[in-house]
Amino acid sequence: MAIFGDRKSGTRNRALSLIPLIMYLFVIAVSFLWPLLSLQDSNTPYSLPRPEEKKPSLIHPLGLDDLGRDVLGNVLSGFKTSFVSGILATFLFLLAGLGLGLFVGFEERAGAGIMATIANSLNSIPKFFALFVAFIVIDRYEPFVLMALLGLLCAPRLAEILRFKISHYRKADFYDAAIALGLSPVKVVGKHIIWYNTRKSIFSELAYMFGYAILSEATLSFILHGSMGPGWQSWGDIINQELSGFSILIFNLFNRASSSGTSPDNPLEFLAPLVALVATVMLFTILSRRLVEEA
Amino acid sequence: MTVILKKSVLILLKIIIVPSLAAVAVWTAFHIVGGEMVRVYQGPSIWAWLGGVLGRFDFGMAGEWMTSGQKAAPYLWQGIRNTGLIALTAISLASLFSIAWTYLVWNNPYNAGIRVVSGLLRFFSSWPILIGAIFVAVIIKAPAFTTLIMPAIILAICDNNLNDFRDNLMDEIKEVMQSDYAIAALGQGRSFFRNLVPEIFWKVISFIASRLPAVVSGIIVLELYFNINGIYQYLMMFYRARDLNAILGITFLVSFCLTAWSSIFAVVYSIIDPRQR
Repeated sequence: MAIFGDRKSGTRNRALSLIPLIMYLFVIAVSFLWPLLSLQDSNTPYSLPRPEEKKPSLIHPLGLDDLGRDVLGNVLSGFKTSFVSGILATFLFLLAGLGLGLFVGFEERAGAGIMATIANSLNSIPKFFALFVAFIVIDRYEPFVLMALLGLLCAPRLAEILRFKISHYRKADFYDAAIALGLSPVKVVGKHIIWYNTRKSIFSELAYMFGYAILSEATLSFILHGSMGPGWQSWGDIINQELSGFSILIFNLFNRASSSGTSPDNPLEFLAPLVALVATVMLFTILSRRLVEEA
Repeated sequence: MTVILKKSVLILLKIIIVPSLAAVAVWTAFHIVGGEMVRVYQGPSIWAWLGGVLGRFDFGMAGEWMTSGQKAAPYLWQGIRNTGLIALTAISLASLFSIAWTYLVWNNPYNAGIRVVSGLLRFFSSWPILIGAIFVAVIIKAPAFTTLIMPAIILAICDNNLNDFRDNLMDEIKEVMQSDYAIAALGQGRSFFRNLVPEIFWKVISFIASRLPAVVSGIIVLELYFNINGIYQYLMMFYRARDLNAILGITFLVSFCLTAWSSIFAVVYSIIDPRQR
């Protein structure tokens, strides 16, 4: 009974932990459909709203920003940009990490040492420094190119985990037994070592990478004022635009005398993208940690 | 001795080859993409430039971003020094905190307050540096960031790389304290500081050596947002002035310093710990 009870509660906990992920995917789906659902006509030129028009309403649940754009639309376009950035970075991270890890760990070839040195050198490059130099080379803000580069730069991290696991399990008795039974080394490494014994570590790394890519994209757009235009805004850029207004709001909150600047009429302009960014990054960081604990 | 000598020669080659390759890669990327920076560049070719750097450690002249007729090297070194100081201070603070906290948890395993704070630390360690920096900037105002110590404190608290670092370091320290050797030594009433602190110290040193590049990454927000003259601030300045010579210089120096940093620790570690050989 206890076993059944444990299994049931384990399954229930796992199902419950998937709820935030399902909610995130739902929001992503909405963000892609938003241009079709939006009540705001994208062809209408923006008109600067009066302060009372910026407050949340039924048509604009999060209100309007200083330029009269829907804050919810801005946040959802940030979801879209961050999602595509994360997917690109994670896909290249997986592809390059798997390739490098298998090459270095599966067979001790002559080139393995050189590949390991390259991986170590790539690992010691500060990622933001490399991304910043890449931005300077491209000479404009291209988040998807930068995130693809980030995925490649982080790949040695996954490769190192794979190399360690493969070399560890190849010394185990089951590996020799499987080879003696006639299974090919590729099948044993692919199915028994990577899929059965390493997949949770790989998924954990993918979740970490996804969150890290989202955070990196927001950070870069924050410091470089980077955005790809109305349909593909970035949370970092929106936060940066609204930061000074929010600073004044907080300053006024702590100091009775009001400061010289203008307090924002709609604090959600700043808070909504900030909460979206924190919640998304935390979701994937916690997911990654849970997978590590399970692994 | 021969092994260490061989390793030293390899490391010497590495600290020359890796930065040179980085500079060549950046030069090639600029020339593939083209653009204004390549058009306005009037300096030597990459090979002549590398010859000057490796032969005389001469990084050429500063561009329009500084008074003409000045060498670029002092500005590059200043950037490296400031960023390095922030990173080292932050990582040292994080290490000290990890040691102190692990010791506290070790001595008070059933203290409810400590367990609550541990849980909170774990929760907030998922917070990104960007958010931490913004909140601190908003609350304590930007002028506090003009010194180097404040960004280091912010980094030590908020950087997600350092949070990861703290978690791993605490696990390593716990592992040392739960080892058979530690239990036996403490059971015999031997000194904690004499028997276990050296082991913990080397764990901390190896962690600092391996994690510094990641911490250097996190400083970008603090430098650019709060105008600290570090590598990122200078890089931005070089970019605005279209100074390819200085960009190559800072790329070379950052790679050089980080490669040298990790290599020196590899040699020191192999001397101290025979298992590393």
